[in-house]
Amino acid sequence: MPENFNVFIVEDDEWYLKMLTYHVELNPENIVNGFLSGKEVLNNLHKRPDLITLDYSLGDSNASEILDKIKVFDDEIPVVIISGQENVSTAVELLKNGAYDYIVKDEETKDRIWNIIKHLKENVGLKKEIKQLKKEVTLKYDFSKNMVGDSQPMQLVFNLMQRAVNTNITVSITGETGTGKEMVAKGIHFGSKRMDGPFVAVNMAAIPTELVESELFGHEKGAFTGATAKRIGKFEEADGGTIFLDEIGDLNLSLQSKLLRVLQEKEITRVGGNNSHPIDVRIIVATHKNLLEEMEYKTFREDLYYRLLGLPIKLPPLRDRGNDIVKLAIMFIEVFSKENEMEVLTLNPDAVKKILAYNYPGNVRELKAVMDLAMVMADGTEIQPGEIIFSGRNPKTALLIEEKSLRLYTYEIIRYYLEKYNQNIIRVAEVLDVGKSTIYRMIKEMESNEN
Amino acid sequence: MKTNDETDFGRLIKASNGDDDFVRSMLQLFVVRTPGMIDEMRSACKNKDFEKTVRLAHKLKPSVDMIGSNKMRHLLLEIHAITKDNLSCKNSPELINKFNTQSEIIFDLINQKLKSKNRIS
Repeated sequence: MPENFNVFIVEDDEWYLKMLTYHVELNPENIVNGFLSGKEVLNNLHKRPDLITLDYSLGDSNASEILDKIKVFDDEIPVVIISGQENVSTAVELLKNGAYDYIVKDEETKDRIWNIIKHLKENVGLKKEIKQLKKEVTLKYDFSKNMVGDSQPMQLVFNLMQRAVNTNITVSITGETGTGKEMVAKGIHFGSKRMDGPFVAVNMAAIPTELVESELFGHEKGAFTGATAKRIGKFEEADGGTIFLDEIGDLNLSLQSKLLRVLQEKEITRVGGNNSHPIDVRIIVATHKNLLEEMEYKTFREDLYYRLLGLPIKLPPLRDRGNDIVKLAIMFIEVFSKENEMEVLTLNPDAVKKILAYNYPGNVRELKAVMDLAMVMADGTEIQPGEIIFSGRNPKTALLIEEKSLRLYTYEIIRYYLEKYNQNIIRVAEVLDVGKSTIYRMIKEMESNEN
Repeated sequence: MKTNDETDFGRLIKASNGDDDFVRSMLQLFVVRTPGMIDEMRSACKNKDFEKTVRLAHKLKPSVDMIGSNKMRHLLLEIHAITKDNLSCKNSPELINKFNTQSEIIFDLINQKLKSKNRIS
């Protein structure tokens, strides 16, 4: 059912007021309230009309003053000025002061008002849709409600995110692939005061090197072959909001210095342009690389590193998140069920053991894929261990992706078996086929390293 | 639609979308509210309130256009132009009187139409 569109017509000539009212109300969705004076309309603004038409020459007041008062009350109410005479300078002045349109009283006035109402209705519809979508997005990325994680490492992450939300500090997110770096960046943006501004994500690794500069800072017409029109870059697009620079470690040295300048000056210059444009952007960066190592190899600028470091948030790999794995698995089951209008399945206890025993080289992203597949493969109301299929990298090779030293891997093996056999050194020595003294020596080394 | 030599309700009828009741109510309102506005205009001119005189001439124009009285329209434009440009009401009282006389002719014509039970539109 179409919604009513409330129009206030302010006109001190009763005859013309009646004429306009009749025309606007030819569409039964339009409800008109007529006012013979500026004072009357100001007293009724609390009714929040969708449009006000204001006669320029009211007997009791000046249209500019009434317009100003309406704008002070609510800047969003569109005000159309209807004047008996076409006066360009007056029209320009009123439009500058926030009038939505300026039309002249003539034969076409009623048709113009109809067109304005038509456009406004479309705009109102779009605005409502945008508001609803923003609300949904904000809820979707409200990390306090939608990011699962009771484990200690994730509690630390949430704590840091909350600190990031309350300030404008640059945030650097590190973590293995699939740990949810972009999710954290969105959580910070949509929880911050910038939530109504844009969130622009740029993956440095996904843009060809020769296009990165233009992509980030935009270009002027004719800046290079193929630049047939001016184009704004991601930084300008994110003005008033947040830019998320993913895989920042992949940015080449030349662009690193340009980025550094942008961070220092808070302004950008488009490729091929001479003028700089101020920008107000919150920066969140992410990388799976170790930027300290990159600095040592001289592939990442030290000054840029320290400028981007800001508040560092390290996302733990899923294998270090203990029971979060099960909670996440259940959440993915619920989401999949909702999206596919399916019954919510439960996890068989052995299936739980199986998902807990895996080390997830692809992290949360991999777990989601595994659970989606399990939902498709499951026959009953319960997901069985056989329906949990790890199709990613072999767990054995996955263990090696961390590229630790042999000594550190040895420590991990000893710790694993000590825990498994309840600190029974004799049993562990038997299983690993080494002497007890070797185990004791390793424990001593681990303790001294930890100290 | 040419109503007679003095008026042409064609624009009003077109704007009414064939709603005769609306046409009648607008003509009725024209007859009722216009004399008061003419009096106000005369009084403003007498008090040398040129701005108000111009504003009232402005106000009357859309309805006079709609009832299609060319004579009234031209008189209004004259009142408007003289008062606005000269910032004086020197010749305006005479023009306002002419406008009043012409309006009374139009009121009579309208009242005749309103008395008739035939459709106006």
